Amino acid sequence: MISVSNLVKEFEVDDGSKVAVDGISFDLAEGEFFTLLGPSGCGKTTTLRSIAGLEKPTSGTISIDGRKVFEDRVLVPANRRELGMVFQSYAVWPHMSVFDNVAFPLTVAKERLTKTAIRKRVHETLELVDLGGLEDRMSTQLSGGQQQRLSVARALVRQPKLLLLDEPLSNLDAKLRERMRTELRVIQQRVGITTLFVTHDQLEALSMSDRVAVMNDGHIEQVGEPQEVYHDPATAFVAHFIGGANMFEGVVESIESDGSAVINTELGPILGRGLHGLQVGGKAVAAIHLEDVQLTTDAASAATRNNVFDGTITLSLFNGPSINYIVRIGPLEIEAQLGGYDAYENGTQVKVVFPKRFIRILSEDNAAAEIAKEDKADQ
Amino acid sequence: MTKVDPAHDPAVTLENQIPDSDDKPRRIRITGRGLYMFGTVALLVYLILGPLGVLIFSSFKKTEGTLPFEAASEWTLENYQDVFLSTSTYEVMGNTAIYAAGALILSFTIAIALAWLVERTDMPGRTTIYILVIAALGIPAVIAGISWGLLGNPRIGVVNVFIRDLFGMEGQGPFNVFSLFGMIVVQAITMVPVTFLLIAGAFRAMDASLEEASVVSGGSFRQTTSRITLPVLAPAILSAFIYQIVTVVESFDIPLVLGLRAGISVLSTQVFLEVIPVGGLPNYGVASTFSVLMLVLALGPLIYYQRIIARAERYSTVTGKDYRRKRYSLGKWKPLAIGGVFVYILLALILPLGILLWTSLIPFYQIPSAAAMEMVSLKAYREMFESPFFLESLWNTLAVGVSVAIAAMLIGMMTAWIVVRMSTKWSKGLDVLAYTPHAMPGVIIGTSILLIYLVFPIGIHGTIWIIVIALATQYTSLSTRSMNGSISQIQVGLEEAGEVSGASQSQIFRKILLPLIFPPFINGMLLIFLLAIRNLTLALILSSPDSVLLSVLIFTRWDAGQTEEAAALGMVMVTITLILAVFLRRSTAFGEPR
Repeated sequence: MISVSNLVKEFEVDDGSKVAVDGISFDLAEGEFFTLLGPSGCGKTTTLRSIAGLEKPTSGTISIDGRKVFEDRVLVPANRRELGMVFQSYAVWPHMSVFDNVAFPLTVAKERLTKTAIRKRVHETLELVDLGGLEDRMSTQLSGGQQQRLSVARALVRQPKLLLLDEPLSNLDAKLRERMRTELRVIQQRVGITTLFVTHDQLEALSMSDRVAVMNDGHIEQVGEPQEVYHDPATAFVAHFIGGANMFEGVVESIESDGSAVINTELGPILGRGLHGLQVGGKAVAAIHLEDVQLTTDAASAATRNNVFDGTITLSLFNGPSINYIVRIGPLEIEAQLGGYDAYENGTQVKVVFPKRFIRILSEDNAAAEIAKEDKADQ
Repeated sequence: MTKVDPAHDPAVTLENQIPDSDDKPRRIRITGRGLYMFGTVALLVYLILGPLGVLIFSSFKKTEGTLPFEAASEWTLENYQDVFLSTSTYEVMGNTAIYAAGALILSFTIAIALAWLVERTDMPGRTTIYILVIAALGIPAVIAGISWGLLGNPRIGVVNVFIRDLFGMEGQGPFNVFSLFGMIVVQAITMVPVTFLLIAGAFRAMDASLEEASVVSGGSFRQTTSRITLPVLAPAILSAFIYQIVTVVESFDIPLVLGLRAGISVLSTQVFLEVIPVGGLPNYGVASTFSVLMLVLALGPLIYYQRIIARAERYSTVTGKDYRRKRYSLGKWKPLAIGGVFVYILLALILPLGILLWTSLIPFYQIPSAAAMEMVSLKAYREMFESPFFLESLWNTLAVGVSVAIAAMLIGMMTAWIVVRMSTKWSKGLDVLAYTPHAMPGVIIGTSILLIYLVFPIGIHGTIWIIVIALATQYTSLSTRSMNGSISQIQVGLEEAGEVSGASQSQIFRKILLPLIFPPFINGMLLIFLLAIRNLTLALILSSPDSVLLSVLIFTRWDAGQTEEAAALGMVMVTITLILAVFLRRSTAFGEPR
């Protein structure tokens, strides 16, 4: 449906140029919901804008529905690419009514529909996004959530082959964002439109997408289904960015034939699943999601297991469905997330267990540097 | 706003029943606040409503040979009859309408084109163009008028002679700057910088994704421009337009310098001629009636303006992240755009300054040529510096400029503080009151203040201080507007954080607000200083032999045909104002395009 290959975009800055997108390639299947996920400045929005035609890439090729829209000598302008796009700011035209906003793409089209046909199509599209009956309102009289839906209707009214969503949920408040997440996905599946979604929110990416591409610093770190990206991260960056895991740096001690590996860390040896190109003696990190860490005061049962450490609860935060704990183990502090019923008091001595199947050991690949950079971007 | 006796104030009684009420210190503040508000309101009423009242009063008094306040002056409707029954009134109004419409349309066309090129396209040298356009603020209207009087003189004007030589034409022309058309063109050129500033901000602030959404929806460049860009910018352009209507109706310098020589009167020059007639005695009654008429004409658009502002606020929508703005590529139109901008800079800056310099260097005016080059001398400057008149007027001008800048900004800050921070029923009314001087053309303020201090025996008539009062009144609207903006940008939270940290009201003012308000305050002072020293209207109406300002001296020399002296004085004025205009730009550098 869409094919992007070796896309490069350099921006001119005061002293030379900056590479925003560094040769990325990916394909979208018909009807797929595909997400570009990454921290701000990773090049995801530039990629989307290049596909929309709002940005001229430096090199590479982009084709939409079998038609080359960008290649060496080909540059189809944005208004001839026939796609729908939802902007982060919604870009709802303030001087137009709801109807005029949605009808605009039909009224500027080369093949004009009749007035009746336009009215019918606008009405149907507004019904689809649950804005039926608001045709005559001025667009600025709508609430934030309604403006968002108006902007979706405007993107869909031409029945394009491709829908581009540029962080459409980031201007909504938390409650509404959660609802619109579901609603957008429902609309997308009902219409069956191929969708490219850009976000920095991993929850949005994981819950809405068929596939996710995790981007970092202009390149793609991993492409996969949400479960795959979450449970089997290809790189330390992905492990850290998705699900905010505990990470322990160390040196690989041994690799077993069944794929498991041992890494020597500050805490001592940790046994886990070895992933992707580990080498004995090489630098690596062990990663475990917060909710996979187990805490127990039952020393006897803990003694029978791997990866057991003595820890002290230093802080607990109750979130409703779960409790987050900060646990001090020797020189380090780790984070754990447990069900919301049995609370440990601060100061409780616990056994911390990292179940072997939940520990992913990844070769480092400058992971530390990237994580440091990503932490900075968060601030 | 009077002080409330605490013993009889029900709020205080109630408060006494609640011993721990934290309202106690606030009570003291309210009375202090009340005094402050009362003082500010009284000052504004005195400065603004006083002159207005006198004007309306005088328009109903018989003033042939008398002053409106004298016992001999009777109540009458004669002034209104004189004004409305005279055919010349309608001619003057017709001239004013054509002049205003022409200058507005021309200046907006130029300013919109410049703003679009600078803010939204890949025009080369954008920053330089921006600086040059704003620098044109440094050419006072009276000097633009004089320069163009020299350039566009149908017989010996440089532009005309050049065109005649180029096309082998004979006789006079082709342009005559001493005409309604000439006045329109020169007025439009002088209005471009402010119009540009008002509009460029809107072009810059517009959310680019509004246009991108149109392009992605299949809209062509033409469709996007006509159906999205211009309509979205319409409120901003319209409000700038209405703001400038008032400017053009009250404009005085160019009609005076170029229009009167051709016998063309507009309302502002008509009032001036009644107050300071060429022969005979002033008729303050008729002048006042003309002023009332002019005020009504200026007030209408202004009331509409207030409503536009409200609507413009409604237009504000959610804005997205600050994405690197994409500029339109001019492509093959680039040479045309560069040529157009060059012609504007030539007309607005290079030619007027060039002719002024040239004229100041030769003993009597003639077309620049190799032969004339040999006559170049600094004689005019030498004589100027030896003349006691010049040094006195320069000193007067600087004293007036500094006094007006300080006075107007202080009044503006006091008013803005009430309007923005103390939301009482007074705030809105005070805002409108402070804005009224913008609708009061200079000749009206000048006339009414002249009338007031002819009668009030406080001895400022004929001194520079009457000019200071008049200018401070005139620029109160501008200073209040700018301080309104600056104060509302300071979050209330900053003051509250100071209060919670234990600071007293005066500490909050000194340590938090003053440092924050200082930069815009200084910038406002610079702007008002610049406007005050280039103002001719008030200086001319209110001047006496003891209070001559530079602008008046320039005009009287020009009027008396002493062209090279006027030009030399003009060079001194332009040197000061150009430096100020560029400096003004520096101190607002954050508002520039990137």
